[in-house]
Amino acid sequence: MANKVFVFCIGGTGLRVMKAITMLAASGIKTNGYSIVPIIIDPHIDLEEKTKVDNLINDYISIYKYATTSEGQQMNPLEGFFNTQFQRLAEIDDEQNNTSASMAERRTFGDYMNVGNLSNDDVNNFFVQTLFSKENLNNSLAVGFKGNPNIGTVVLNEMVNGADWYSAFTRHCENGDRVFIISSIFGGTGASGYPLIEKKIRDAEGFPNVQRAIMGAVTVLPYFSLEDPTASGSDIDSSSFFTKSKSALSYYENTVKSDYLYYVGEQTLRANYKNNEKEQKDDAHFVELVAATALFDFLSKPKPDAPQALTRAIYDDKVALDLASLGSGYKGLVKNVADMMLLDLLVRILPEESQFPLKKDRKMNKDFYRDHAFVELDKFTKGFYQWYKELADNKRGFTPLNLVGPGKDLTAWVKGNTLKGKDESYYLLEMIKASNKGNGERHENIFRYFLDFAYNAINVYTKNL
Amino acid sequence: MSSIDINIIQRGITNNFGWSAEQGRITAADLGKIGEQRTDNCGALNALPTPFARFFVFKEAFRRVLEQKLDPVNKPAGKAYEHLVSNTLDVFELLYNLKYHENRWKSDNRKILIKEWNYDEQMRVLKNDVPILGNVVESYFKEDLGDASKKLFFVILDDNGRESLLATSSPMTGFITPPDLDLKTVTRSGRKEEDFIGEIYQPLNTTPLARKEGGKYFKDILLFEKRSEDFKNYMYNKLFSGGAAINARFKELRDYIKAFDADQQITKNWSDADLEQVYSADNTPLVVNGIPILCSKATDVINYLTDAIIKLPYKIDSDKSVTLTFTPDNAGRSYDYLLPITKEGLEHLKEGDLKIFGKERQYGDIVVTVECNGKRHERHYTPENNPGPGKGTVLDLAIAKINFDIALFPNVLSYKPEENNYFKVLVAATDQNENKTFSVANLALDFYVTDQGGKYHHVVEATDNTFENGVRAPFIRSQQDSDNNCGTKYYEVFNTPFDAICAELYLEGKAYPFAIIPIWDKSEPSEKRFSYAIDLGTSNTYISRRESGKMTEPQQLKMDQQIVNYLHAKEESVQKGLISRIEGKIPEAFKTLVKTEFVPALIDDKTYRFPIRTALCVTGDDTRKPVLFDNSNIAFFYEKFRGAGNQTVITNIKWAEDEKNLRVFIREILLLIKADILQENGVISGTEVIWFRPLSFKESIRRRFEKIWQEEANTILNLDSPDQQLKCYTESEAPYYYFEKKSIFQSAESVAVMDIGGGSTDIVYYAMGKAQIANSVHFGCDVLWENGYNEYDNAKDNGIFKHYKDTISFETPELKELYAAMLKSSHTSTRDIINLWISNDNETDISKKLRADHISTFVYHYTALVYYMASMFKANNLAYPRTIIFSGNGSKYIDNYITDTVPILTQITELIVSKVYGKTISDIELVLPNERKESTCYGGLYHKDGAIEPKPVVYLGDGKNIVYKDVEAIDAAYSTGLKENLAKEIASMNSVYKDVLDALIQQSVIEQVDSAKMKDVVDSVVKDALVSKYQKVVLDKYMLQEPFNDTLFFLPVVEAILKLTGIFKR
Repeated sequence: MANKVFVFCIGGTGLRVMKAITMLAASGIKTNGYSIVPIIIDPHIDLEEKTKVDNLINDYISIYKYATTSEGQQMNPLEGFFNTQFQRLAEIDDEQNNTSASMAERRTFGDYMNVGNLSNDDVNNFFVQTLFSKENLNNSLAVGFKGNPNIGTVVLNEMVNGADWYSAFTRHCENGDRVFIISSIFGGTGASGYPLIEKKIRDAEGFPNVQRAIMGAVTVLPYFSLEDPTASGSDIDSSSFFTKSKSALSYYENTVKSDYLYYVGEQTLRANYKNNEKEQKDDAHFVELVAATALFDFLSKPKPDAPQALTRAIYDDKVALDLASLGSGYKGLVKNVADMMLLDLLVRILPEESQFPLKKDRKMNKDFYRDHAFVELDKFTKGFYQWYKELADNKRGFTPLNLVGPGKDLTAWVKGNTLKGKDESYYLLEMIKASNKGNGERHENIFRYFLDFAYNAINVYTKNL
Repeated sequence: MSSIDINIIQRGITNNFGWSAEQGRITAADLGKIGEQRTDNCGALNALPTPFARFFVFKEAFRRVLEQKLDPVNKPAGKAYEHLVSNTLDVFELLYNLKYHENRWKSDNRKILIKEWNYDEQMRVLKNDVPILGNVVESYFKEDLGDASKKLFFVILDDNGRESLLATSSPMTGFITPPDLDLKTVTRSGRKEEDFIGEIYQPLNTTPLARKEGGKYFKDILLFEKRSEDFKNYMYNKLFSGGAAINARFKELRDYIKAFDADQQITKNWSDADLEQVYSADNTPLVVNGIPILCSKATDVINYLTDAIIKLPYKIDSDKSVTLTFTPDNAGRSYDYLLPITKEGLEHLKEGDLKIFGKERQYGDIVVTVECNGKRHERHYTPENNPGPGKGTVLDLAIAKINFDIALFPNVLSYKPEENNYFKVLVAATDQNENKTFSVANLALDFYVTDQGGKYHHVVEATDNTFENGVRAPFIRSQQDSDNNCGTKYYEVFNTPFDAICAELYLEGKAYPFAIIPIWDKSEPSEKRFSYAIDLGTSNTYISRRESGKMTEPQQLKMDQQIVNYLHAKEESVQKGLISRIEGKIPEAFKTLVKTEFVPALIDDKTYRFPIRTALCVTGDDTRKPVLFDNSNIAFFYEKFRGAGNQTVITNIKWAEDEKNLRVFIREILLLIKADILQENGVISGTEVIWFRPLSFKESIRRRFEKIWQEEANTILNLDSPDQQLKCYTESEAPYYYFEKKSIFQSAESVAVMDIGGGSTDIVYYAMGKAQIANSVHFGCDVLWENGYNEYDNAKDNGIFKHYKDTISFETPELKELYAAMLKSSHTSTRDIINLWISNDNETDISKKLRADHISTFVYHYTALVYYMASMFKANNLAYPRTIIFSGNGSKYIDNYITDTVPILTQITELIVSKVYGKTISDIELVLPNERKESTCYGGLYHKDGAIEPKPVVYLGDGKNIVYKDVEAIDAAYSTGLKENLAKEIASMNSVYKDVLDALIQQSVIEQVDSAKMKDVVDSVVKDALVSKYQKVVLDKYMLQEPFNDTLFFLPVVEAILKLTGIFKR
């Protein structure tokens, strides 16, 4: 069994970064052999964004399974697309419940703590008043911590204490496994969750594998602003994001002790979102993408002698980033995204391609295209396309590709580069070549062949980016 | 190579755009480089993932505010952090001044409690009762707060037993305040204001925790540099002077305090002798992370200046109230500021030991400096909504569109403390906004009196009748509404003087305190004694004054000095009279109510002069309990201008069954007299008060008047010998002594004084200077303007009224308005309206009209009175009077509407008297003095001590001097000859009336009058009147056993006069 990386995704930003991780994993970025065990921690009830990410991971897992299972036999991971295994904690440990379900909490914070249990003359009432405002105590936990990590700490501390999913994590964290924590610093849930989870892990007495696990974390610093709260009636005021971040960073200086701490954020908040704590329907953002790359970077690094803090840069401060303005260090990332978007193109045209020889040779026929595996893939690539569009259209925009439809010139697919594949026929031809060449595998998994041939075909034209 | 960090801070990552550890962690040093928006929102500061986030936020606040101090341009901390720092400093300062505050708060039942929280003990409670909190506290406490903080202290405000947390000790910043004590910006009435987040702290909006040096704890941001010298030295030298010995966790606080090393007020040799340890309720020394918290032993440091200063839209009368001395002053200044002196400041001032200056700055700012007890206290006020630290605000009433004025009566203090027993303070207030939030109810006055040492003491409200002195509960007399542009309220201070007023103006939930220190006029000891004669007539009241031992010509009471002080300044004009200068500057909205409800600023003998109409102004509908000024007062304005919509004027005072109005009237008269004596430095208790009664007073009425005069005079003037100093003469006899003194008649052999009033006529006969008989009848001049026997108030039968009502009009706007209102009112009588015409002859020309059109009526009235007088003298066996003196205002119709040629009047008088006496008489001297009504009170002042009062006689008019025991006896005689004799006398009188008319026609005084026809008119009513009016006036009104002290002679005369008023030259 491969080693695992337990990825704690905390709060809304954690969700979005996890989405990016899933997308990048699908595009073929490697994890150095680690399988990813996502653990989503968010107390929001009925958060659509959380459901979507959960579904995306499920889709990924399905596709991965379709691609790595043949006639009941487990096969090696692919080399290109979907090469990383994702595992659910529930799969590893049959006893534990869904993290989200165990965190569903509709009471107010005060009721949750049961502060009414203190008698009127109890001096601890003053203690409570010292720590929390009346408004804090009256806040419903159903919509999170409304930017109050001090509340989040209390709630999450309790939610983690004795939670069976956490117990499962501690039991199944094996020697060599790693932990990665994704959170934002300027919100409520993420900001409280990171130090708390880290503290829990370091304090996990009786679980040396947990305590010794190499730990990484990406702390997402402010990168978007919200509509004026006075207009929306929200309790969250994004004008305080930097202030909160500075305050928290000051606290982190002496408290958090991850082996690798990744910072990512924006010096100027260009994106402006709706101020809706309950929905958080925000478009994917370049910063989330960069944060996602932190996981892959982390997994590529050995245990450091001393904790390290890492940052990444771009070459040019453009609102819309292409490979040139991103800088050379992003080539791999751009290639992976370009590959996945080309896959999407192929997925779209192939079912209609009547003259494709593999239709017959590899049974990539109508039945195949109607099969669950391809339908899942089609769904996933459509999602990827949408995700990329969001990245491209956001501010700042990650837009290294010139997207064109079927039948169009693909040489300028990657901005600033000329690909030799002039149109999709070049890629189909390379798929045929790959099929003809074979990779030594013999199996009956058409879907695996499809992904394999497609990746090889695309790689022919994008490997030299 | 270009490189932009994907981070909130640009540190220059150069690692080929992959992940790089080259710059390492973001450190505290880096944080300063992070750009951010200024944070004014306290709610933004919970960003730490620990339940103890609040403690760290305060620590961060000190770091940020220190950064700001070192680099204010580039490192603004933001209001939120400034507020946290200010709050922590407030806790240190509150505890430093604990003794001072608790000393101040004693009367408010407010105190500070310090309670302990011990980790081991309380963790057991938390783990048991609130285990979720207990678990997380257990998990984070040690790391975040440390073992050294296992004992926390809560600083609690106990307000009347209601406890609220102000602060908790912190190992990092000494103290932190609870999040509910943070501020949020709210908008009230369009103005942005800071308000506490937590409801529990809302009471601090109305009863704030005032800092010793001004401002409000926890509300106003006050950073270290703006704090008092003593406190700064305490913090700098005492608490944080230890350098390395100070626990490192205090770094941010310590560094902030030590950054004031160069502060000029920090003195290195600061003495800490006056400090002592602060203890908790459990007697544990309050020590926070090794720092002992101390308090000053001083309790006498005073907060002299208020947090807000009120700017008035007018200047204050600096002659009458202490005002800010402006250096320099602007000659054109049309506004002023109320004294921003606090109650506690006043209580620590000594009378006269106050110098207060104002210096105006740009943008409406003003700096006020108080010098007292050898110290200077300064406060900067600004009109800005959010003043800077330590600054107060200016409440500009002109901008707020509200205003008020205050008046004080009397404005003079006696050198004898016991004589300072009554003061009335009028407060008038207006709100000119469309949506009104301010009224006179929003002004509250507290009165202070100084003791012999000059120290101010509060004069408390007398809540029941056991109080021997105090302030009565204020009474709101008028409300601002559609009738009135303002509201009025009255305070009464009794049996004590007062030397200052501490007031509060409440506007939109905020209290704005201010002080008024009146500059009193003060009487000086002297031996001057005065006599006052008050002739309280049915229509008019006269007051004259005489200084004992002086023989100056008497005159009506008038004053040179004001007896009412107003807050507003007088107009600066040398060309206008004092009263115009005062009243002209009453803010327009207040003019009507102030001029109708209160005492005139002075009786100047022009705008306000005696005689005045005997009339009360009453506010509201319920007149059952008239209280002077609270709802009733003398209507000085009556017949001058119209009162306010909520007022009525009561004129039936003298003869009303209910004495309450009369008492209020007399009380105000006596208070005016007292103010006059004080202004004249007279001896109040030595004052002689002379009042007059009509002969016709029933005994019961006389006793009632006596009682009122005695009680009121004793209360107000505290007479030394009431029996000797309070005198009553009959209205009839008094004039004689004045005329005698004045020698206006030749022969004293037999003198008749006929005092014609509105409702009655008194006649006294003197022989050789001694009063012989006196007779009074209910027949005055009012019958000329009234409606005969029609008893309805709104009867309109009078011919004179009907003749002119449609043609007379007024030009003066006030009179025009008044006249229209009177015509409309159902309570206004024809007499009231005709009197208004007469009072304003210059506009109505009524005298000329009456003389031309209605002379026959006046001649008949005159004939009847003279005939009756002569007949009465003859019946009493007295010789005809050689001298007849007319007094009383009512007699003015004689010279005004008949003729002012005395020989002609003498001729017709002799004609009448001759007819009665049956012989030709031609040696009567007729005297119509100028001082017609004044003569009564003037005569009172010169009444001879020991002079015998005339014998009252009753004369029925029948030519006989039979004395009837009661009405029953009269009624018996009436059918057996009395009526016939009466008819004969009236017929004789009517006959002479024709002769008089003929004589006047001959003298060309009357033209175009048919005397015979007029005789027929007056004859025509006699028969019926002697039956029906006898029944109505005598039998229906009197019980048979009652004595009848009037006459029957005028029964047909009244009826005849009504008829005559309807006959006039067309």
